[in-house]
Amino acid sequence: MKLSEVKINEKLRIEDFGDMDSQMRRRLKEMGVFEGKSVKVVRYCPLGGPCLLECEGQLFGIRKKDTLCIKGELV
Amino acid sequence: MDIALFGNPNTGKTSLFNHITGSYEYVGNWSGVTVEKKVGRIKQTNRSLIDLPGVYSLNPLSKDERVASLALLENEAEQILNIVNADQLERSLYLTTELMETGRPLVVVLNMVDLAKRHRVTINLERLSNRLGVKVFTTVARKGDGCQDLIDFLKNEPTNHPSSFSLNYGEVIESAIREMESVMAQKGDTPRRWMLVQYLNDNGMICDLLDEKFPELRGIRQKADEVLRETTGKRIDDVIYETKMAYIRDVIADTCVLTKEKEVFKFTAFIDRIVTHRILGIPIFLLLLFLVFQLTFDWLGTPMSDLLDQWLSGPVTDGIQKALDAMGAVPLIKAVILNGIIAGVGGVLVFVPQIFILFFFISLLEDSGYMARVAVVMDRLMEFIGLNGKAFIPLVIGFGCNVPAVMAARTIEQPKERLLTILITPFMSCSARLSVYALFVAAFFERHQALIVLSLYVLGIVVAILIAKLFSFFLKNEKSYFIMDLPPYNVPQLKSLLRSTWDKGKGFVRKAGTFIFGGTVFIWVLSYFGPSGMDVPIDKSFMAIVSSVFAPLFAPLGFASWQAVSALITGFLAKEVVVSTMNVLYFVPKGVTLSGLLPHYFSPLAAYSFLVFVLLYTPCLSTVAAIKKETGSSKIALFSIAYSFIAAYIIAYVVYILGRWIF
Repeated sequence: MKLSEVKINEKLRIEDFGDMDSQMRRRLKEMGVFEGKSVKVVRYCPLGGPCLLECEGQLFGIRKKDTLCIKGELV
Repeated sequence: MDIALFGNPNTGKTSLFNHITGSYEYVGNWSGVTVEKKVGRIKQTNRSLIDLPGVYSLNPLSKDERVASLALLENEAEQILNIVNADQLERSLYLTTELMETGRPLVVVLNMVDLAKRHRVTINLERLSNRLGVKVFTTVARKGDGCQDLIDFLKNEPTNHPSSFSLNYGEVIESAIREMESVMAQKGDTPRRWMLVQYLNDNGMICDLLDEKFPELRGIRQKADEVLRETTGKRIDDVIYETKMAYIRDVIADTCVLTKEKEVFKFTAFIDRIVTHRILGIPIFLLLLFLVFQLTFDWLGTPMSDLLDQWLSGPVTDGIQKALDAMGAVPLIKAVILNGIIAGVGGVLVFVPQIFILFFFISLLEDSGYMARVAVVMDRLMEFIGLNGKAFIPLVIGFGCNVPAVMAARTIEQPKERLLTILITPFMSCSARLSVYALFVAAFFERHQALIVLSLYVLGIVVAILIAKLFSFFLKNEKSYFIMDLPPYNVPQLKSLLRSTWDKGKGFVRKAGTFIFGGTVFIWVLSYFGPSGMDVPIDKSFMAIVSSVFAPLFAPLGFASWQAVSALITGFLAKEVVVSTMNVLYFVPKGVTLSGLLPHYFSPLAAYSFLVFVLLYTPCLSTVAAIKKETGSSKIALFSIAYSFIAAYIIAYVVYILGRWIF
């Protein structure tokens, strides 16, 4: 399942970053978001804006197109 | 021995820096407040502490992150003070492992232990210190807790032992490192393991550095990468990352107890539900800006400015006049001081209260953590104009002063987005322009002051957006990405707010003593002398003659008086000088204020058109210098002067024509 399909307040355990831009992926890793971690969708901004995510109590925002790359399973 | 302060963004680095060094540095609650390294002296010692921009790793993505890595490469950071977010231990320790690999003496400061406690995390400090092999301190830097212990340590133990730390990355990588080491040793270089690990981890900065000297290394890396892909299906950088993470997880398992799954703090989640609301997010931001302007003008600022004005034009002017009479000063000196300096510099100083109030609220927004949310809420809009949400932060800082705003653009990763941001930042209405608005709205739009000023700020934003969209067609397209860390909200500390307000505002006061003082005297001299000698009628002065040449150019915009044109010319020095110039040139008689006099020279519509022109035209000298420094290009600096002048002319013209048509 893609992260973009996850509903608000649901959690996805990340399995794969797909073909996400390598620098973007590197930054996510450095922020502690990598394969095996669960992220919760907090909010989708309107008009295809960024998606707010939570990972272990830490909030961050990424763009919608990047949420299309992240795949995993619902927890 | 210099110590450098390393840490992730939003870990309270700058707060810690302020507590353990005597000086104060500017703190904010979003990534990228420290865009340049700053140096302070550690209290009770003569050791220097270098504050570096926050980084997640030694592998820089943006220009400000390079500053941190450079400090290590150029051996400026002889010792390391590594601030770690106790509440986000896992990801904070990633940087720690990279720093420990450099082999430099290192001290870990576990900050935000109060937040960790609220998340029910218990950390066994002694064990953590043993496992990492370094001294560990705990602090709550925002409140200053624990800082004295750290100072005592830094004071009494000038030599810490270098840490010996090394991780085993597996046979493939280790043999690649050995091979690289021997290549470098043959060429007479002492290889440093941490640099080679960074090289294998595809650290662009280190790759550029080493590839130039040792072209053989590229092949070794490629070979190792191929072998790893074949045998494990993983990339080199993933293996290095996983090795570090495995170590970190092991350390954490050994030293920390987490009794409950972490959640976002309730308070933060509650505020976020409101300010990042799907529909209300942007209106809430605009409403907050409007409130800030109401406070700055109607509710607090204007009454205070008026009081200051009465005091300056009353007792102060009279006192100086009497003193000058008593000393028997010659008329020329008297005229310079009373009509030049007091009128000009004083005319700008009266806006100090408004500017400080505005800076106070900008500091409040920054310090609370709201700015990071604004960046997210605005990202969609910014993406549309070829920028990203992060670019919004320099733009908001631009409301205070364009110079730090141009510098803050360093946090933007992509060169194209950074250049665009730098080019449009001067359209953000800075506090200097505020003094011009304040003067004019008091004269022409007494009943709608905040609304008129807000309209100018919004116009600045709209023009910036349109110009960015226009320019983005001409700039080469790059991949754009956006990732924004949202720190928990802080209840801002009054002391720190006041200090950062002062830090931002002191530049304005200083300018009053330099640029504005100099500019005012210059203008006064040009208006006092004319071809027929000194003390000529002002419209026969040099100033009038020179400005009259250009005045017809501005007739289509509604203001062709030579005084207005002089004000615009001298406003290039600093935009406040527009006000000083007008105070000098309109020669305000006693008992009348300049704002009482202006309606004789401008129609309200012409006044608005003038304000639009002042908002948009050529950035001030300091901003142009900052643009040149940040882009490293005189051409771009000249371009910014030219295009903004043209934009200002066209837009003020349209406003004037439309206005005439409507009214």
